Amino acid sequence: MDRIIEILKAVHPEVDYETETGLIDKRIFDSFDVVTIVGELMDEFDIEITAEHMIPENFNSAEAIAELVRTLEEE
Amino acid sequence: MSLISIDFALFVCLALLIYFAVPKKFRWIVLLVASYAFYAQSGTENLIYIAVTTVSAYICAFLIEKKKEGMDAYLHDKGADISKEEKKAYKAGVKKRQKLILIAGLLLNFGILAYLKYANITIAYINLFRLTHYGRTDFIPFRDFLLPLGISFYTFQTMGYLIDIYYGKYGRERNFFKFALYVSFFPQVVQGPISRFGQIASQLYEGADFDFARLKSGFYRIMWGLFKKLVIADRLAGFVSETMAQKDAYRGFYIVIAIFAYSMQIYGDFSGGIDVALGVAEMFGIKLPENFERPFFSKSISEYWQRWHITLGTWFKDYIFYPLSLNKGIIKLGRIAREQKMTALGKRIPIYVPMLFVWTLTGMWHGSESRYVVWGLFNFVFIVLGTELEPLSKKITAKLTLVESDFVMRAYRAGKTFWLMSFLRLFDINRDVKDAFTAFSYVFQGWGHFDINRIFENLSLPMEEMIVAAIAIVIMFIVDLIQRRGSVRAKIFALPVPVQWCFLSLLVLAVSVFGYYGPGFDAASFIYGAF
Amino acid sequence: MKLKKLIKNIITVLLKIILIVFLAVTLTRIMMPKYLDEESKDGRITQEYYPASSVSDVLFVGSSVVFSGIDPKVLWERDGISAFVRANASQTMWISYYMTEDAIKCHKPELVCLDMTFIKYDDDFVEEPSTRKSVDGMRLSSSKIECALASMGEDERLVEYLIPILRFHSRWKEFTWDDIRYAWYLSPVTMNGYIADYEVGPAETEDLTYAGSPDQKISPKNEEYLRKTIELCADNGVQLLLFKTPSLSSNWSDALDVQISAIADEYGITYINFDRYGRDIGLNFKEDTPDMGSHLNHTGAEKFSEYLGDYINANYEVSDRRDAKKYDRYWSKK
Repeated sequence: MDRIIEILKAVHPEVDYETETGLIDKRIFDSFDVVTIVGELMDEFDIEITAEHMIPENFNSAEAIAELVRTLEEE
Repeated sequence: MSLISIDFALFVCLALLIYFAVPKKFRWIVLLVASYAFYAQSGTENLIYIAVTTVSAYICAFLIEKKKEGMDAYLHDKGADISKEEKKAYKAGVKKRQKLILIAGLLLNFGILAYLKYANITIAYINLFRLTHYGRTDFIPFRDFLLPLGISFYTFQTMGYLIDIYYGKYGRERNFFKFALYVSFFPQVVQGPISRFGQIASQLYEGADFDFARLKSGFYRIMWGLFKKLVIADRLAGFVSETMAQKDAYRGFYIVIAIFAYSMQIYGDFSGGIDVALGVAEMFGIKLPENFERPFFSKSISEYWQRWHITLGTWFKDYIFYPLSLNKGIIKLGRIAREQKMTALGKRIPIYVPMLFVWTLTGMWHGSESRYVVWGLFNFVFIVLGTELEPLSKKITAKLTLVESDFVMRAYRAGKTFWLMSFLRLFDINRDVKDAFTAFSYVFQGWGHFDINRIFENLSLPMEEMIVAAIAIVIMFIVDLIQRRGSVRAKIFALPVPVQWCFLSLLVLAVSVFGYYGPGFDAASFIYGAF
Repeated sequence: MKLKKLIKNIITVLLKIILIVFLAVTLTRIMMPKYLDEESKDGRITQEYYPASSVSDVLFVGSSVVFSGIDPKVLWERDGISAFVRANASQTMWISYYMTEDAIKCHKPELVCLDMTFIKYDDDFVEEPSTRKSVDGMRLSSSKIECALASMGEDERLVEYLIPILRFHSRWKEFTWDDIRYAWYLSPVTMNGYIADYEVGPAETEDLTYAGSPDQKISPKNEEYLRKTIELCADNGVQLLLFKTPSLSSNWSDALDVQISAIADEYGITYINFDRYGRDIGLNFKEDTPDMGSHLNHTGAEKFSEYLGDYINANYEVSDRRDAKKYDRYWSKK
């Protein structure tokens, strides 16, 4: 989780990732940010994120991202 | 039948009556029949195209899901007998077969779209090439067909569904006729919004209860859409096209006014039409996705494209941009760049390469002529520049001790975005790329000769029409401003009833009297002296 | 209590509907042309008929030659005939049919006199302003709708007749206070449909020579509506006279007279072309026309109306109403 927040902070340092649950819905992240973050996640956790995982619900909060990473790590 | 017509109004009234007269569980059938009746109005031969799309997508979705069911059953049977590696390999095999089905579906449908859209322009280019290079005048004849109503929109919507099924985002619609309704739902089939199956399916199929408040709310939205379309857009259309047609004679400020007017026209036209579509759908209890979010208040071009024609933008993002940027090849390319110590480039490759692709396609989507591709590429360049120059612009702002959230800064950024986008629309209102550049160069000439009377007298925008247009644009601007703080309709409905009546009366009055429609009135023709 | 509430609700909804309809109709009436200027006054004739319908025993139906050539006041003062002119510029045979039908529904006249001048045109004759003037003034009825349907040009639509604001909304540009003042009521501006023209535009010659081709045929639609009008009057027990208002316009042919007479004979009614009675009527086309003989001016109309009064008295049963109070009240205000 901390590593994830670190990655997120590198993109948007001003966001409070502990509480924010509308990263996509509130347009805090645009598609550039998402692609950057996904790239970092794939390198960091050695997972494969594909287009089918690219739905807002997976990226709206740090918690959701962590959940996505956990699921993909198990596969 | 246009969405902006008396016929359509009557059609909707009739459909509403029947819709609420039948039991709830049959209401979706009314929508299906209405949708096909509406579509058939545009020419019964068009039904073939939408039927092909519906049937092919239905079959592909069926096959994709069947493969998945087979897989699930197989894995369930095997249970623990199968190793993790075997399981993975088996899954990958199934995925591959699913992918083949998907690709077949995509190729067929986008193939039809591409053929209908680009066949004639391709023939034109081939003819031109043969003429200039070989001097051949035995031209290939043009194909004789019209684009079926809304084919770009329903093809995108249906293919989005198919891709979602492939991704397993939701289960397929098993009832063929229900699925046919999703493809053809009449308010959105003409010009969008392009909605997702998950967004509207249950609303389409469950049937809505009668709710007067919702009818009223939908009616307001329709009237507001008509206001934007009839009072603003249609009034300015003649002026814009005439100014562009005679741009040699009207340079400088005329061109600037025409560019501004075109921005108002296209926004009024498109967002007004969408308001009508959404308002009609609302009357049937269906909430279609929003397509515009006050785009002219955007502070950057990339933000603008998240607020203008939203459903097309998200379609390209979800089905082109993300899949491409997560494509193994592109990711590899990025990694190689980073390994070569080109970190900055490595980071940008997975973003800019797909984006270039998306913008080329977006350009082609808007029209078959090359000027639209150029338009798309300009958007791409502007977005890249905007992103790359952001740190610099932030520095300058800081140096000048300006605050980004200040009104002046926000207005400056919104203004800049507005005019950049407006100038790009020169590609839209000129015949070709060269013409668009000529028009752009005219912006900087002949400012000394401006005489507003020439607009009144020679450019289809008499003074009184211009005044009406100007007032209407100001009203539209104010309404958009209020909308920043939440739904305007909700605010109106909170007012005392007589005030609500005044608002509605004024809106209906504005549309019916100041709408720009019909044959016009020429008092002289009513004089019997000419008998 | 529940019932009371229900009744209250129903009344509120009804009141709301009435208010909406009232506002919509008022707005429409404001936007519609008022036809106040001298040159388009005929646009008021159709609607001015209704308040006068109950005292209209004789109807003159036709085109501009009728409203400029027949003065009901002359007929009233000389013969006690109470007549109304239901005519408009370029009023076609089919509009005349529906005008007659609409009038019979209001008040059965004793005699209808139908002018034949417009029978010479082709079936595709369309003059939108004229249709608007005729139809817009009509009360809402099947006659109005059928009349619009029979008269519309290709780019016209019935809905524009039912909701006239769709046609006239762009008049906001020439809006005047008269549009509001006269939205609901304007006292009659024509003399029972007669519009006097005091201009004099002498004709070059007084000779009547028709230029129409000798084998000119009445077109099918014109014939159809002529027969329909004849049958309509027969079915309702209304006497009918077919006539042609005197004119020096050469735009006619003997062939038309022959064909009309044949149809009239078939039904046992009279057709009379007053072009040939100019001398008897006493018309002088050096003085009695505003436009070189096409129409009659006021002096011409006086002469023709007197002659027509005599003709009607001699040939048809029409009441002399000079002693009837209702009629007297009506005419004394004229």
